[in-house]
Amino acid sequence: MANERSTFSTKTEETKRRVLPDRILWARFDKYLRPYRKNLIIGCLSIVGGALTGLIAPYLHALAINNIISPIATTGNTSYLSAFMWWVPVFVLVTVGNYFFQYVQTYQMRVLGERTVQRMRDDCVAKLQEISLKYFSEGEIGRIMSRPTTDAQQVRIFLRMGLTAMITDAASILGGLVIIFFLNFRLALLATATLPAAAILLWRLGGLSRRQYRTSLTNLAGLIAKMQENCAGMKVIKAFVKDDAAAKGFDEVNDKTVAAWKRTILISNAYLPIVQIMRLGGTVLILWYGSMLYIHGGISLGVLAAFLEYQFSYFGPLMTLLAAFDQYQSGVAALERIFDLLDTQVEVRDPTADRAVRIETIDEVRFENVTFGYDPKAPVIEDISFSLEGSNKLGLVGPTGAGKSTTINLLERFYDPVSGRIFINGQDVKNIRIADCRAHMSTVLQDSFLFPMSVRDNIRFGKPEASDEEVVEAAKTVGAHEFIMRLPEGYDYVIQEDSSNISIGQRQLISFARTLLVNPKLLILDEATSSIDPYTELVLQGALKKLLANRLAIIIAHRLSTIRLCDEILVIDQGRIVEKGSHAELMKLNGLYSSFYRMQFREENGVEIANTVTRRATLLRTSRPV
Amino acid sequence: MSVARPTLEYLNTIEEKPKDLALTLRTFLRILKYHEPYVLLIVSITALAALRSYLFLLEPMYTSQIIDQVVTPLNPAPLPALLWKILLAGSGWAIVNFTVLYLNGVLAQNVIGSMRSAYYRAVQGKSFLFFDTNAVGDLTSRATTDMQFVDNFLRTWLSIVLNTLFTVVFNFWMMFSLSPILSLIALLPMPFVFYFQAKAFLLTMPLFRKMQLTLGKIGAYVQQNIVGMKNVRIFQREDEMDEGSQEISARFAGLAIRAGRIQALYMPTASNILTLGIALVYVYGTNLLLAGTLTLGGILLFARYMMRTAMPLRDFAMFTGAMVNATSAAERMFAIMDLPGDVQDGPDARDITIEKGTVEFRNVSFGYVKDRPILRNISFRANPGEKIAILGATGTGKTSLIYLIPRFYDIESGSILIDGTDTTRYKIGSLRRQVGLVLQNVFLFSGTIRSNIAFGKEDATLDEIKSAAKAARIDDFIEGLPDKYDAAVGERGVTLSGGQKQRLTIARALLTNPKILILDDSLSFVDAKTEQAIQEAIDEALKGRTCFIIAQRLSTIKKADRIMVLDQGEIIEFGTHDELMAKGQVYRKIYETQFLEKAAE
Repeated sequence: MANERSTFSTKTEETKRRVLPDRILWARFDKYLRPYRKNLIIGCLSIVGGALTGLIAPYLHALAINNIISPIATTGNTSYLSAFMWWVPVFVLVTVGNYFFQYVQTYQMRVLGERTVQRMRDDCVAKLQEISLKYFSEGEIGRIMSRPTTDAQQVRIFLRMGLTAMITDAASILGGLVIIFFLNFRLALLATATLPAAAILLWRLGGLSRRQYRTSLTNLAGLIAKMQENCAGMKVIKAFVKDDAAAKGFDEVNDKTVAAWKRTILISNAYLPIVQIMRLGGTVLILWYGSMLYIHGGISLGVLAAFLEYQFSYFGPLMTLLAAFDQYQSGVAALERIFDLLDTQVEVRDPTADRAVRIETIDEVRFENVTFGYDPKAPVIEDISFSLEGSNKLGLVGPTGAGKSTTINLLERFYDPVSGRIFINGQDVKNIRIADCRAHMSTVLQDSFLFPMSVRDNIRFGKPEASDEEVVEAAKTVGAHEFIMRLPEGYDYVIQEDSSNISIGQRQLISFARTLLVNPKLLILDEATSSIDPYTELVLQGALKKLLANRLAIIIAHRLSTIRLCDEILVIDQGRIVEKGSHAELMKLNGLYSSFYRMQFREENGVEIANTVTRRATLLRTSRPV
Repeated sequence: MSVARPTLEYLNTIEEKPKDLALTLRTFLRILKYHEPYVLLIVSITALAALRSYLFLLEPMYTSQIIDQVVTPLNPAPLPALLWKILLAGSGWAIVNFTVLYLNGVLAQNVIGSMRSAYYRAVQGKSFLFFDTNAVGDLTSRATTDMQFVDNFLRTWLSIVLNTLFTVVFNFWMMFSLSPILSLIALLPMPFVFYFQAKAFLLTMPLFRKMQLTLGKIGAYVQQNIVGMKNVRIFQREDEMDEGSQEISARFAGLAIRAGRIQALYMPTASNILTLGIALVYVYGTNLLLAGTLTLGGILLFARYMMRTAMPLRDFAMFTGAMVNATSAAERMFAIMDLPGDVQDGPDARDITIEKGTVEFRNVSFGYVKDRPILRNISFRANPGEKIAILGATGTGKTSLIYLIPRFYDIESGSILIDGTDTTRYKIGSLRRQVGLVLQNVFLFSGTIRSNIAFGKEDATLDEIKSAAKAARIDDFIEGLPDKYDAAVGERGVTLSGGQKQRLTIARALLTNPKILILDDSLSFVDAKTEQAIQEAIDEALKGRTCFIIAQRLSTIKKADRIMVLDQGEIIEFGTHDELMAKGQVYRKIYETQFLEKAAE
């Protein structure tokens, strides 16, 4: 019951103002670009090619006007027309060349962008497998999900259009600037006089727009969380006829997101007119000074025309550069969110290679004064010590919320203890590779989760190489075979995403079969039998004995019929062991355990005990017609 | 890769043939329908866009006037006035342009907001069956990730289309006024421009559609990976989950790259073909110059207008790409919205107060799929205040049976009566409000403990909430929390143990004070002590209510007034504990065996 909020909760997300310098973001981003260096280089070369051919075009225009059209206009001499014989092919060639470069550049940059985002998404998903389970329990799943989905998408939008545009436009603007400086230095100075101010302004507003994008993306993540929560809880909503309230709740989040995006659009477009008017100032200055120069014989008409041409030719790129700059801000805001996930600390770590101890099996498990809490100040379990060896079974009993599941989660290394130590075969678990440790143990959880694939694949989830026969065998052992055969496609019946096309009891049997197939040395049952109906339990009780034979087991159960299978029982209350011993010993103690026990059997006295074995056999034959 | 296999197999089945264009256009029109409430905004945008394109014409016009009036005659006098005009026209353009973009963005967000809201309402209006068969991750992804594409498109589309339209029209109009013949020549390459754009549109359409479907699957996959994470780690399938995700992700990138190649091939054609047209203009324009029908300034201006036409055309090429993306994404939303909705109120449905709580089933048959009945010919009558326990193997239809009472599904044949009135005559809202339900899948909403208990009755006072919590034996636990009733509950109530969650949902159901109460499997995670406590509380709360209870423990079942044993969709035994024991059939056998298990110690 930790009150500590995780990185991905609503509160943290909405109050956090994370600002990574662009330098660091780019350095990290570069890691993703690196494998696609080739694409980047070819792409950039084509961009330069495209920009060059794009810049030659106005030059060719000036050439046609100065050397062909203008002389014809002034002299009326048609012999100048023949110059079109070379001008037209050159112009066509340059245009086709420009097309070719655009094609190569667009394609290469797409490959680069798509592959980069793909790898980022992969890294996010890989990270999910490592980070502490607490993020999935305390945070909202939708918010974590937004990283590899909507945030990755936002980066993708930037990469597929924005990045190319930024490089292309920056190249054409730079090229244009170089040319006008060559054409006339003083004129060029005037034309660019307003640029530094525009750049500074752009940078300032860029920061503002990025913050706004961050808010919008956070809102979008909140929307995902809301949508997901309402869909998952829709049956409850309907059962309580809260449709209107739920829709209103959704609308609130939706409206909030809409409003945030409107603000974002306002801010991210605000610099457009400012930069454009500044550019206009440059144009007016050239026109004024250029015309005056020409009138006083300082420059030729061709130079003035070319100047105006370039002034225009960098107007287009400037516009797209501004749009790209905006996409850059949104891309970076999304990148930050992605790195947020990637930077989440992995709490449970493998030992370093030199310290790692290999284990071949699990013979012994020992807890020494183990204390743990998500929030170290509020321990969930305190000072737990026990040991288990050979093929003994340990039972954990206690009220709900006493810390039983937490105790075994530590053994499974979902978390590490705050203090105290856990040993397997006499080795501190921190010195054993996590994979090694989990390879020899397996758990049947109280909330059995099945994956959306066939029943067969679900059963062999822990052992994908298992043959169909092994799968059927495992299902038969736990008594799942009969109902599986009654499913529409038998073992090929595909489970829905939230397993809603199969009952909880059936799910539980399948998860028993799944664990049996792994054949673990240490079996953990985490309230695994609590939701199985009496029919199935009959079948399973027999199977359980087989399941438990020759292995260590830790069993959390509320049903004392299951607990009865244990050699030693720990009674846990409020995170501490309060009683310890065999069933008989604990009954004699007359404490918490015996009161549990009596409560369950209070009303069931006085029924004859006879022919147990025969009866059960008869029952199994008659009650489950196949 | 078995986890990702169903997804990958599904993706393999999607055809990449161009689907009919009509569907895309229909979808586009449907998106347009959401623009209806914003007509005024659209009119303003259109007017401003026209102004924008007009202002855009002025700058080159004044520039050419500088050449013709200042530079050529070497006369500086008109220069200041012309420069002011350029400055004013240009600034005006910049401001109008910004306004158009902003208003377009506002329009887009309004449309997106109402589309998302409509989608959500449509999803909410679906039946239980729909939620049984549709993955939450996929449903969510349609309203978020898919919506990003629609957003991306809507944000600029009107501005781009209007800009292209007005700029092309105005530019050609100016060009026509300069030289009609030259304009006709300049129009020559246009068919090619449109041909290539149309080609790109048709070729990328199926790819974009498939990309959209793949993206939805990525969301669904990540979601189940997260939800099932404990199992993934227990069985050490992290690598497999990873690989599966990578494979789906790679498919998406592969499709995107293929679509990108097509776009790269066709998109730049628009501006380049138009540029080629300029060569024609120069060559032919020179002839006109010689004939004296066009001035040098005229040719320059003409060429500039042509180049300015190329720019919006390039944007337009991107517009078609974004449109295909957006319509494929919207198609996915609309597909869900078009699925049949929930059980509907009948024409004569009324608000009826349940007075007594009699529940009667008359020959009820029901199945989710035709010819695969889950329940067959069920008939029984539960009297007011009676407590009926339902017993049966997994998958025999216990849950289906109780879901029929608040009409979560429509039955195939027979009838269900409450207080003698067919449930179809009740308004669904009125019926469900009066039937309390504790579901098999415990689900808590993020919020506080208080808001969760008060879920069915928002105006409940703290005292009412406390007494419901007390009845469900969860009040001690809540009072022990630092924030008590205001303690936060995470999604799926994950900071609570299974038993605590169950007790909260029982408190939630008790608070609404229903005449009929249904408990589905809801005591199974609770330990014996807690169950005992809840049992007593429920016994107390149940007075005067009809109750159906699916429980796994015989101690619970035994206390019921009557016990119904279901097997494969049929009632095989129904009666009091003593009657069924006397009958000596299935119930007795189960009872004795479970008891023997315990007594054997």
